[in-house]
Amino acid sequence: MTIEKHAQERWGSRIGLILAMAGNAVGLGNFLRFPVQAAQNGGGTFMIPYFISFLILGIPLMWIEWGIGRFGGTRGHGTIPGMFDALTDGKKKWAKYVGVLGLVMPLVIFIYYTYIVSWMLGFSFFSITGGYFGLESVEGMRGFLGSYQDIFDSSVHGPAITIGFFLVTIAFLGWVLSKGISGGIEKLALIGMPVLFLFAFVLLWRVLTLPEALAAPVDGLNFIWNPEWSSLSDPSVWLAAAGQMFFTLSLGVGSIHTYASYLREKDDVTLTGLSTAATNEFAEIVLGGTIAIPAAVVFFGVAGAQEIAAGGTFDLGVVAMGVVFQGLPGPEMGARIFSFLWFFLLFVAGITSSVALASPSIAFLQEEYNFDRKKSVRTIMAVALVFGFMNMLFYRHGFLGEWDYWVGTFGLVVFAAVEVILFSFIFGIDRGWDEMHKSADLQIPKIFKPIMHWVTPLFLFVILAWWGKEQALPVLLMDGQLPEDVPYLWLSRAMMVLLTVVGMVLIKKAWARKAPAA
Amino acid sequence: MTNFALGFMLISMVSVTVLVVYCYFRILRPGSSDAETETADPGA
Repeated sequence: MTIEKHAQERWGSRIGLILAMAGNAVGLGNFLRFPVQAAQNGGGTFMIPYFISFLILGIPLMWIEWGIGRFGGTRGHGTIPGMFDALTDGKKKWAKYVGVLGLVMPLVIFIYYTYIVSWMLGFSFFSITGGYFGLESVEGMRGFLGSYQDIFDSSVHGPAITIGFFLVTIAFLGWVLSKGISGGIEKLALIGMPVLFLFAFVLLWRVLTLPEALAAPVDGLNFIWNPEWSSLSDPSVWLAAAGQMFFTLSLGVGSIHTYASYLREKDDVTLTGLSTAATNEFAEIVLGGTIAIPAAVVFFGVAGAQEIAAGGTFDLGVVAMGVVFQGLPGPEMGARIFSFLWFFLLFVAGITSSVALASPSIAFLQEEYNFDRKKSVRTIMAVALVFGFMNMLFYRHGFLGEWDYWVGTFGLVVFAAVEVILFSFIFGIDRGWDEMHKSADLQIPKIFKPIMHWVTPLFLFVILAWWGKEQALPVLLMDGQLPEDVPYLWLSRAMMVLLTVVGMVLIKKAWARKAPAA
Repeated sequence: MTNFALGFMLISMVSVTVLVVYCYFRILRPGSSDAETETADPGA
C-alpha cells in the first residue's frame, strides 16, 4: 500500500529535480558562510582541504544519499526510518529508530532556518522602502539588525515586524508545500534558481566594477584566495573545510533522501547527483566567494573586512553589506535596488532549502499515518510556528544557537557517519555500488568505491572524535555561558530531546500499525 | 593580487564551471533520459 501511495508523487522533469536539489543545497551557507570560513581559515589554503573534502566526503556522500533515497522510494519509503529499515532488509529493529535522526533533524533545522530566512524577507522589504538607509555605520546597522532579531529589543523595531515577516514566510512555505512535489517544490525551483543566479551575476558585476575606496575589489579576492601555508598543518582548518562541505551540500540531514525517493528505479542518480553537487559548488566558489568579501574589502579595507568576517555570517552578510549598499555610487534608488537583489537572493536561496527541510516530516505523516498532503503540511507548519516562536522569544538567550550547534552542526556528522556505516557495511558496499548504478547515465570512477567504503567513514570518525574532544564537551558543559542564559539553553536541549522522543514514538506506532498486515 | 592567488582562483573557478557545463551537456543533449522523464510523469 505504501509503495503505491509514495508513487503518487513524482518529479515532473529531470531539470526540475536537479534545480530543486540544487535549491536544497544552495542556501545562506554558499553566500554568507563560505566566504567567512575561507577568510577565517587561511584564505587560499582553506581551499585545498575544501576540495579534498569535496572529493572524499561531499561527492561520495551525495551519491550514497541519492542511492539510499531512490532505494527507499521504490520500496514506498520517503523518509529515513523506512529507508534505514529497508537497508537492513527489516532485520535490524534498531535501524528505524536510529532513523529518527533523519526525521527530527531536518524538522529542527527547518524551524530555526525558516526564522532566519524570514529576516532576509524583512531586509528585502527594508531595501525597497529604504528602511535602514541613513544608518551608514557598522554600529548603526548592528543596532538595526539586533532590534529585528530580538523581539524584546524595541529600540528600532517593534516585535510586530519580526513576527509579521516570520508568519508571511511560514504561510508562503505552507502554500508551496501543499501544492506537492512537481506542482509546488519543483515550480519554486524552476522559477527561484534562475532568479537566484541572475541576481547573483548582477551583484557580481556590481561588486567587481566598484571604484577603489579603501581597497580595490581584487584585493578582496586576494584576501580569500591568497594562501597562508602555515594553516595547512592546522587540523581545525581541515575540519572547518569538512564542516562547510556538510552545510553547503545539505548532507547528513535527510532532505536529499526524501527528494530522491520520488525517483523511479529507471531514473539515474549518478549524473543527476553529480550535477547537483556541481551546481552548488559553482554557486559557492564562483558567486558566493566573489560578492560579500570583495565588497566589504572595498569599503572597510582588508583589516576591517577581516574584523567583520570574524564577527560571523550576519555581520558580513547583513551589517557590512547594509553599509556597502548605502555607499554605492549613484542615486539612492539604485543602491536600494542592489540591496534588494542581495537580500532577496538570500531569501530565495533560503526558501528553496526550507521546502526541502520540511519535506521529510511531511512525507512521514503522509506515508505512515495516511495524512493527505494538505493536512500533513498544516500539521508541520503548526509545529514550526510553535517552536519558531520559542526561538523568537528566547533568541537573546542563545536558544537558536544551541539548536544550530547540536543539530545543524554536530548532528549532521553523526547522521552521515550512521548512514555511511549502514550503507557500506550492513547493506554492503558491493550491493550499494550496484544499486547506485541502476539506470546510471554516468559510471562512477572505481576509485570512489574504496573511498566510500573506507576513506569517507574514517574521515567522518576523525571529525567526530576531534569535535567531541575540542568542541562538543565544552559546549555540553556550557563553558563560558552567562548564568542567566543557562536555563534557556537547557530548555532548548529539552525541546530537541522532546522532538526526538515524539519522533521515536511515532515511528514505533507507525510500524505497529503495519504489523497486522505483514 | 598575487600570481599564486590569481592562478589558484582561476583554476578553481574554471574547474567547477567545466564540471557544471559537462553535467548539463550530458543531461540536456538529445536522447538523454530527461525527455522520457517528462513524458512519463504521472503528476503530483
